[in-house]
Amino acid sequence: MTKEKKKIDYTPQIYPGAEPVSERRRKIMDPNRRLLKLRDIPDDEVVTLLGHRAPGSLYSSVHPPLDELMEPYDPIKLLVEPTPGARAGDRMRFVQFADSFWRPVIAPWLRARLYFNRFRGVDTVIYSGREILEMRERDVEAATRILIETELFDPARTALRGLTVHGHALRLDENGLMFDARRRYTYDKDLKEVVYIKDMHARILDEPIPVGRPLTEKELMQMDVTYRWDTRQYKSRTEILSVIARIAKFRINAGFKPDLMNGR
Amino acid sequence: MSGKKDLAFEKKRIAKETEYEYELSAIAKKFLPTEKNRLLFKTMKKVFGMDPMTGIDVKMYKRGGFHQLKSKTEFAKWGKQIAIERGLPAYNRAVGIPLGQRALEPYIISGTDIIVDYDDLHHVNNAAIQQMLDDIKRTVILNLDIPHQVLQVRAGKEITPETVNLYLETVQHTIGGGAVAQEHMAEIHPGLTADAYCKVITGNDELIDMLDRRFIIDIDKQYHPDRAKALKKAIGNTMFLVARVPTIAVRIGDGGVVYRWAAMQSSMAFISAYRLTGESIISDIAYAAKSAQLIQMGERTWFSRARSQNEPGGIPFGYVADFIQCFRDLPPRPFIEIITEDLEEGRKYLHRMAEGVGTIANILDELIWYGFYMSGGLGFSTGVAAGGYCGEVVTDFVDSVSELMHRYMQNVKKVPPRWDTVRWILEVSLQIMMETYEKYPSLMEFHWGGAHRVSLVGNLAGNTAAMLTGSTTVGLQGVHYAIGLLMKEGWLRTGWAGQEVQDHVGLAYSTALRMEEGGLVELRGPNYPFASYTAGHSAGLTGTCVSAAMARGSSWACSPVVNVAFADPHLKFDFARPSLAIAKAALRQFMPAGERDLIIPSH
Amino acid sequence: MRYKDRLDLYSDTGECIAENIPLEAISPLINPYIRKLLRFIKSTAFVDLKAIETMARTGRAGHTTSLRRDEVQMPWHSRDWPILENAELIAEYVENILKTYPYNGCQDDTEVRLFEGGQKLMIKISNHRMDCASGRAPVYTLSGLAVGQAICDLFNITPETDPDGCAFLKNILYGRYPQTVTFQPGNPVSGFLRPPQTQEGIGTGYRTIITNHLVALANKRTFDAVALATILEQGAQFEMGNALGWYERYHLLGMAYQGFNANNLVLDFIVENKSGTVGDVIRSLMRKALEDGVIRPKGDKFPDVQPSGYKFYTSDDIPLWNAYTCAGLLAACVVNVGASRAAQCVSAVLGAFGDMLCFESGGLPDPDCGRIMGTGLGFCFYTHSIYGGAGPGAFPMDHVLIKHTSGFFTPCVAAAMCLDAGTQIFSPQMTSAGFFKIREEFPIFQNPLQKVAEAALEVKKHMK
Repeated sequence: MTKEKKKIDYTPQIYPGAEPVSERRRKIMDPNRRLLKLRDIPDDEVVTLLGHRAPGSLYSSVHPPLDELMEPYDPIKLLVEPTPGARAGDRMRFVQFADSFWRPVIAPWLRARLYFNRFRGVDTVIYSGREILEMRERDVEAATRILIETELFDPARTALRGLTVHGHALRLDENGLMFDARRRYTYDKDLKEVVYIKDMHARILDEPIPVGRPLTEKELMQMDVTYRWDTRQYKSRTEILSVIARIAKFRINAGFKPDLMNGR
Repeated sequence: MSGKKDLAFEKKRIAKETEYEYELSAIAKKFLPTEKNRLLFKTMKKVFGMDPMTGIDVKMYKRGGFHQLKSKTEFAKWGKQIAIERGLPAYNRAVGIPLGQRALEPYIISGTDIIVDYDDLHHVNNAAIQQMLDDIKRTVILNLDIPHQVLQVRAGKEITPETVNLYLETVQHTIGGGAVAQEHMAEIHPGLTADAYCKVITGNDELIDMLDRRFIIDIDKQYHPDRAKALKKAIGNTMFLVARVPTIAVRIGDGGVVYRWAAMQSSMAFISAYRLTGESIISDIAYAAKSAQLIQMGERTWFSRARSQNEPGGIPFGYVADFIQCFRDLPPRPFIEIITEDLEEGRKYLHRMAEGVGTIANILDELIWYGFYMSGGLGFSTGVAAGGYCGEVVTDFVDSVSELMHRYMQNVKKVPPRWDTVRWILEVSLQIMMETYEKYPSLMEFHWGGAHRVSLVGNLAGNTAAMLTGSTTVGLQGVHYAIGLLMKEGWLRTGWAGQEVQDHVGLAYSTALRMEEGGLVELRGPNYPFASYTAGHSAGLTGTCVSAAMARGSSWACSPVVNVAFADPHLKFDFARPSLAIAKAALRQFMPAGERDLIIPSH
Repeated sequence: MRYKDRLDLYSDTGECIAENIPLEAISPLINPYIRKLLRFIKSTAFVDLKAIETMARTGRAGHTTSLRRDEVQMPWHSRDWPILENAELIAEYVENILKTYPYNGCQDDTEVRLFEGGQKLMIKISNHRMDCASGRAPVYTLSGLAVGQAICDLFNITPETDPDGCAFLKNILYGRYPQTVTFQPGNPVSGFLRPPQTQEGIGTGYRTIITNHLVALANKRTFDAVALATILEQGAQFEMGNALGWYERYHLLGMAYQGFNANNLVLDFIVENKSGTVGDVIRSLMRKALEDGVIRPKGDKFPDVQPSGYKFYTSDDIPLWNAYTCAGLLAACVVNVGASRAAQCVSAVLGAFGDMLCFESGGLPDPDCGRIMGTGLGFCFYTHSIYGGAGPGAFPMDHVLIKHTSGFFTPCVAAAMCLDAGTQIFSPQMTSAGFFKIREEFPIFQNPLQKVAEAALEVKKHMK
C-alpha cells in the first residue's frame, strides 16, 4: 500500500527563457492561458475548408458509437473520457498546416507541443514544412476553429494545406503570401483579406472563403515564435542553450551508465 | 467588406520592450557591405538573378511553369514521343502538381563555374554518379602473400619478379573475361570490359622496384611525401592486389558478384602463370583469394534490408572517408596548426573536404542508399545530396567558421574531446549557418526542405567539433546535438519527420556499451539498424571521420589499403575531383564504362 | 539481494495485489510466473492440421504472399490426405516421436494436445530437448518434421508409392525453405516467436512477435497486454545484455513501474488525468516525482535557477526517475488514445512526450535517455507515410523501426491497440484471430498482471 504523501503545489515551468519569444512559446503551450481571438470563421466555412464532408451532412462512422460497442471487459476503457468524436465512432480525419519560415506565429514543433497541451485524442506528425493533425472528425473540426480563428494563424503565412505542401521555405509572393503550388488562396485587394478559393485538398470552392487580413510585419515581429538574427538572436539565448546542453549531457552519460548522472 | 470582425490590436497599447528591439534590425543593415562580399551572396545572386537577401519573389507564379528548365521541356517532348510510339502514356506534365510555379533555379556545381539543371543531378540521369557507385562496387582487394606462400610451400614453386610480373600480366587478361587454361571457354569481348584491370599496392619499395611499374599504384606519386611514407609504413611489406571487376558485370549482377569474379580470375591467372593443374593446391589458392584476406568495400546487410557484399548499405563510414581523395596531395599536419598559421591554407583543406564529403559521402548514402535502395523512384534525395555540393553554400559556411578558428584558436594546441568544451564550438558554428539562412531568403528557397538544411548545418557543426578534437565520437555527438536539440529550439522545425530519429536515440547510443548500440563512427554504416531508415546524417558521419583524420594529421581515416586503392588514376570516376566529374556528366561530357554499344544496334 | 527497493503491485482496478515486494522478485531471472511463461512461449509450437489438409487438397504451397496466397498453383500435385479425420492418431504418433526418456529422475514434459476442435496441434517441446539444443530451433524443426513423419507413415507416402507427395509434403510444412530463408506466410508450423533464422539482432528472440498477438493474448485488456509486452521485451533485454550490471536496476524499475503498475503509479496518473491531455500527465509526473523525492530542485541560486525563474531539477536516482518517466509515458499514451479510442495516436505521444518532459524538468533525461523519443518520431513517420507501412500493432517488437529502445516502447503500443475501438485495418482481430483462441485454451496467458504479483509474493519468502 502506498504511504500517504504530502501533496505539493507544483507550478509548471513549461519552457525556459526570459524574453518575448520564450514567453510566447510558453503562452501557446500553457492550456491555462487564453489565446487571442483575431477573427470569426463560421462553422460551415471551416467544414468547407477542411473538405472532408459537405456542411450539414452526417459524419461518417468507422465503428458503432462506443455505447453500443461490445468489447471485452477492460477497466481502463471505462476510465478515460472519450472525446465526442470517439464516442460517436467518427472516422479519423485531418487538418494540415504549413507555416512559413518567415516570422511564423507558430511553427511545427510548437504545434505538437500546443496540440498535446490543449487538445485530447491527438495524432500529429511533425515535418519541417507542414504538420498534420489527425483526430476524430468532429474533434478535428473543433480544433481547426481554434487553430484558424486565433493568433495561431496568419492568413498570409500560415496555410491550410492537404497535398502539395511545398512553400514554407520560399520567398513570399508579391502580396506577401506564402507560396502554394496549388494556389489555394489569393490576396483580395478590394477586401484586403486573404481569400481561399480552393479547399485544403485544392478542390475549387463554389464560394470563396475570406479568412482575414494578413498580419503586418510589425505584428509578426512581435508574434514570431522563432529566433532571428535581426530581432532576437538565438546566440544570446543562454538559458535555452544551457537547458538543451544539459539534456544532451544527461542523455549521453546516463545512456552509457544510468547512475553516472545521479545528483548532477 | 467581409463583414468579419478584425479583432486584432484594437486596444490601446503601452510601448513594449520589443519595439526597442527593432533597432537591432536597423543596426543589422549596417553589416550589409560585409555580407555582399560573401561568396554566398554572389552565388545566390547568380542562381536567382536578383538580390539574394530580398524576401519577396515578384515573379512567383509567372515564370512559365516547367518550361523554365531545359531538362523538363525535353522530358515533356520525349514523354509525348514515347506515348505515341508505344501507345501507352508515359511522362506527362498534365498529371500531378503544376510544376514551376516557383523558380526552378539552375544549380551551380561548387568549385566550378558549371551550371546545370536540377534533374541532371538525379542518379539515374548522371553517368558520373553511376560510375562512382560502380567503381566502388567493383573493387575488391586481395592479399597476394598468402597465395604466394601456398605456391612456395605446397607446390615448391619459385616466386621471382618475373613470375610475379607474368602473373600480373595474366590477371589483366583474365579479369576482363579472357580464358587461359581451357579450350571452349566462352570469352567476353574486351571492348565491353576495357575498364577491368588489377593493380598492386605495397609499402615495400624494393618489391616495387622489381615489379612492372605499370601494375603498381604509385603511392609516392599520388600522395604528398609525408602521407606516402605513413601509408607505406602502415601497409608494410604485404602485396595487395586491387581488382577492378568490369562495370558491366556489376550492372548485370550486383556487388556480390565482385569478390567471386576477382577470386576466380586471380586463381586462373595463378594457374596459368605457374602451370598448375586441377590439384588440391588450387583449392587452397582459391580459399586464400576468397577468404584469407579479402577486403570487400561493403558487407552484407541485415535480413530485412538484405543486400549482398559490396553494396552501399554495407560500406562503413570509415571506408567512405578513405574513398575520398581530395586532399591526398596536401601535407598531413594537425589541422589546428594549419588553420592557426595560415587561414588560406586551412581553407584549402576545408574546401577539399567539403568537396569530397559533399559529393561522395552525400551521394553514396543519401542519394543511392536512401533515395534508391531504400526508397525508389522519388527524386527527393537529389536535393539533399545536391545541398552538399552545389551553390557554394558549404564553401561559404566553412569560410565563415574557419575565420573564427583562425582568429580565436591561436594559442590552442589541442582541444580536449569533452562535451563541455565542444558545446560552444557547436553552438558558434551552428549560429553562423542558421543566421545565414535567415539573412538569405534565396538560400532558404534553394534549400527548400528541412531535410537539406538540417543535414547540412547539423553535419557541418559536428564535423567542426571533430576537426578540432580529433574525436569521431565527439563529432557524432555534435551532429546529434546540432540537429535534434540546437536547431530544433531555434526554429522549432527540423527535418522530414523521421530524420531526427538518429539524433535523439543517437546521443544515448554514442558511447553505450550494449549490443545494438555504441561503436566508433568509422566502423558504423547505413546498415547500423537505426541508421538504415533515417537519412540526412551520412555526410556528417563520414565527415566526422574525414575531419578527425584532418585533426590528427592522419593520412587515412580507417584503412590505409582502401585509401590507396582509390588513389588510382585508371579509375573511371575521379575520386580526387568528384564535383568536376559530376558536372561533366550533367553536361553529357562524361563517358562511363560498361556500355553495351558493341553488342546492340546503333541508335 | 542486490537492490534495496521494495514495491507494491497493483491491479488495473487499483487493488493492491502484492505488498512490499523486493524489486528482484519481478526479474525474468527470478519470478516464477515470468520464467514459466517465457519458457512456454519459447518451447511451444502450433501445427495447423486443417491448413495442411487444405493445402494438400488444393495443391498450393510455397507461396510468398500474405493475402490470397495463390500465386503458385500446381493442382496436379494435390492430394486427398484425410488428416483431420486422423488427427488423434497423428497426435499420438507425434508424441511418441518427440517424448524423451526420463533419466536421473528427470521428467519428460513433452506435451502434445489437439485443440480448436481437433484442427490444431499444440506441441510443447520438452525442456530436455530445448536444453540440448543451442537455441530455439527445435520448436520449428522437430514439431513439423514429426508431423510430417506421422503423415507419411499413416498414409503410406514413400518414394516408391508417391515421390511427388513426399516432396510436396515438405513444402506444405515449410514453404520453399531452404530456397527461401523464411517459411511461407501462414505456415502450418509456427510458434509464438519467429523462426530463429530470420532474427535480426543477437538475443532478440523474445521480441520476434507482433504486438497485436500480445493484445489478443490479453483479450484486449490494457494492463494485461502491457504486462505481456513487458515480460517479452524484458526477457529479450536480459538476453541481449542490455539489462546487465549497470543497467539491471534501470530495467527492473522500468518493468515494475511501467509494466506492472508498481505503487499504482500508472493508474494514478490515468485517473488524475482521465479527462486531461498529455501535457497534464507530464505535470502530474513532475508533481509526483517531487512528492516522492525522486527529483529535487538542484539548487536555489544561478545557474540552478535561471534568470527567468526556470529551475533545473536533478535526481539522485536516475534509474528510478527513468522508471517514473516510463510510467508517465504509458499513462500519457493511455490518456491520449483513450480519448480518441484510435491506436494511431500512440506514435505521436511516443515522439513528443520526451521533448515536453525535458523542458518541464529543466533538462532531466526523458524516458530511456532519448531512445524512446527518437524511435517514436520514426514510428510516427513510418506509420503515416508511403515509406513504411502498416498500423502500429502489426509491427513485431524487433522491427527495425521500433527496436532501438530498452523495451519500454512496445508496452505503450500494446496498450494503444487494446484501446482502439475499431479504427485500424490491421487490428488484432485481423492479424491475430488465432491468438484470442489460444488464450482461451491456455490459462497461462490469463490475468498475467495478477500472476506476476502472486508469483512475486511467493518468491519473496525465499529472498533475503
